[in-house]
Amino acid sequence: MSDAETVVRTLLGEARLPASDEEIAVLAAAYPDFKAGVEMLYAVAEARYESPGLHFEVSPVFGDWG
Amino acid sequence: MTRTPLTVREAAAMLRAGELSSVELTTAMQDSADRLDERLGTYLVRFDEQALAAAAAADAAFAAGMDHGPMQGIPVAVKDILAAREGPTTAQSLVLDPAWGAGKDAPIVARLRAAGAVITGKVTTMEFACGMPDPTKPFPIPRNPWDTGTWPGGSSSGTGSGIAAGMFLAGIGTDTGGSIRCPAAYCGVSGLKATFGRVPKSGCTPIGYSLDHVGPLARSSWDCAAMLRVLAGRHPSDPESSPAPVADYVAALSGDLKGVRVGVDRVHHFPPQVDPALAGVLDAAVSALESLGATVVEVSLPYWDEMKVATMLTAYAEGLAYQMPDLRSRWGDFFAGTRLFAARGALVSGADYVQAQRVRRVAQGALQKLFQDVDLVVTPTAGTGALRYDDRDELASLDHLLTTMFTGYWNASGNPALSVPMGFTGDGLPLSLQIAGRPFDESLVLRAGDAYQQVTDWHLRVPPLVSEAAAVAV
Repeated sequence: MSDAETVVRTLLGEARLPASDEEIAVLAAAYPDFKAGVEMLYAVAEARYESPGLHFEVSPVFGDWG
Repeated sequence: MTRTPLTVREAAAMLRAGELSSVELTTAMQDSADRLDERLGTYLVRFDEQALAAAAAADAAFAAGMDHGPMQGIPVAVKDILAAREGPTTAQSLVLDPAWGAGKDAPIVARLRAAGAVITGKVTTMEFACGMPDPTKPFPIPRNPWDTGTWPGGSSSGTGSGIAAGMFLAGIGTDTGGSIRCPAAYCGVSGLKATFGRVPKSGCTPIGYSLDHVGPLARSSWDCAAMLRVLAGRHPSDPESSPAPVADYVAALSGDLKGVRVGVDRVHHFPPQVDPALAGVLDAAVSALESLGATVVEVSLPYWDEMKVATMLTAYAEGLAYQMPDLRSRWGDFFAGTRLFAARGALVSGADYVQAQRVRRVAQGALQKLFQDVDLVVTPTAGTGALRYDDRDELASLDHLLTTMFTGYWNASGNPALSVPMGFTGDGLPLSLQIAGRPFDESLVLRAGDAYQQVTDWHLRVPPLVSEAAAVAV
C-alpha cells in the first residue's frame, strides 16, 4: 500500500466514510497533487501573520426564511 | 404573437406594447419544453398549471395598470437546490429530506414572485450542486442544446440549457466555484455571480458556506441586471447577506465604456488544454471593449494558483461538514461524483482550512491594490467549449474541468463576475468572456457586459437544434 493510499484510507476511515477500494484508489492517486496544493498555501509568506477571512458574530440575529 | 422573444428585455417591451400576453409567452415556453426537454434533461419538475395561473395574474395586473418592473410576466426557472412552494426540492439527490423547504419559497423566489415573475419549474443541477451526472441514478442527464453529446456545464445545468433552448427567459442558479458562469459559458448565455452576500442564499442547500452565491442566468447582461435588481438586498434569514444599498442596475447601463480601465489576464488563462480558437476570440472581444471607449492593459491576477486551491479546499471542507451524517449512513445513495467531492473534505485538516482563509484575505488585499489601477478585469470564463460526455469519468472530468474553468478565483475573493458569450470554437461550441469588478460594483460589471452585447450578437445566437425543432413545430 502506498503512503498516499495509507493516508487516504486512514483519514476516510477516521471520518467513517465507507469509500470503496476503487474510490480510495482514485483519491490516493490525486493525493500528492492535493497535498502539494495545501503546502502551497502554507508557503504564502504574506499570510504568516494575517488573520483568516472568518468573522464570528457575538450577537447573531436569527431569522427564518419561507 | 408573431415570434417568441429571446430576451427578458424584448419580452418586457412586447408585454407592455400589447404585442403578446404573459399567458401566450408562458405557453410558448412550455411548447419549447414539450419539444426539447426529453432530449435535453432540463427540467426535474414543471409547474405548468401554476405558471399559467401566475401568467394570467401578471396579465391582469398589466390590464389594471399595475407594473412591478421588467420581470412581471416573465417565465423564470429555479435550480432545484432552492425551495419553491409548488413542490419539494430534491437537490437532484435521493438523499435530501423531502420535508426540507416543503411548501416554502426561498427568499429570492419570493422576491421574484412579488415582482410578478412566472415560476415555470425546477431545473436540473449536479447533485447538491457538486456531483457530476450519474447515469445510475434516477434523474435526467442534462445535455447541451449546442451539441447533445456535451454537458451543459454545472452545476446550474438546467438553468443554462433551458434559456439557450427557449424553455424560459431567465433562471436562478448558484455559484460556489463557477456554477452559474460555467453553464452560462457552455450554453452561450449570460450569467452573473454577484458579490458574496449581495443576494441572500437562505432557502438554498449549501456546498460552501463562505463560497456560495445565488444569482441570475439569462440571455443578456441587461436581463441579468433586471433580475439582480429583484434578487439583491439583505434578508434577515441570511446573516451573510449584505445591507449595502441595491443600485438600479438597469439604469446604470450606459452603453459605453468611456473612461473605464480594463485589465486582461492572459497569463493564467491559456494552459495547454485550451481550444485553439480561444486566443483569437478573446482578442476580438477585447478589441470590442476598446471600441466602446475602454482603456485596456495587461494584468496578472495575484495568487492565482493559491486561490484555486483555497476555493476547492474550502468547498471540500465546508461541503463535507454539511453532508457528513448522510454520507456515513447513505454513501451509496449519493452520486459517485458527490462522494468523491465530499470525501476530499476528510483530507483537509482544520489548520489547512484556516490557512486557506488566511490566504483568501491576503489575496483580497492584493486585489484591492490591483483595482486601484483598473476598474474591471476580463478573462475567458473557460478554456474550452462544453466537455463531451464520452470523454469523461467522474473525478478525471472534475480535475479537467478545474484546469480549464477559470471561475473559482472570484468565489475565493467574493468579487462580482459576469460571463457573456464571445464566440465559438471550431466545433461550434460557445466560448465566453468573464468580466470581474470590485466588490459591490455590479453596476459597472453589468454595464460592460451590456455595452459589449450592444456591439456583438453572440448572446442572441440560437442552437441549431432549437431552431430546427421550432421549424418542425410550425
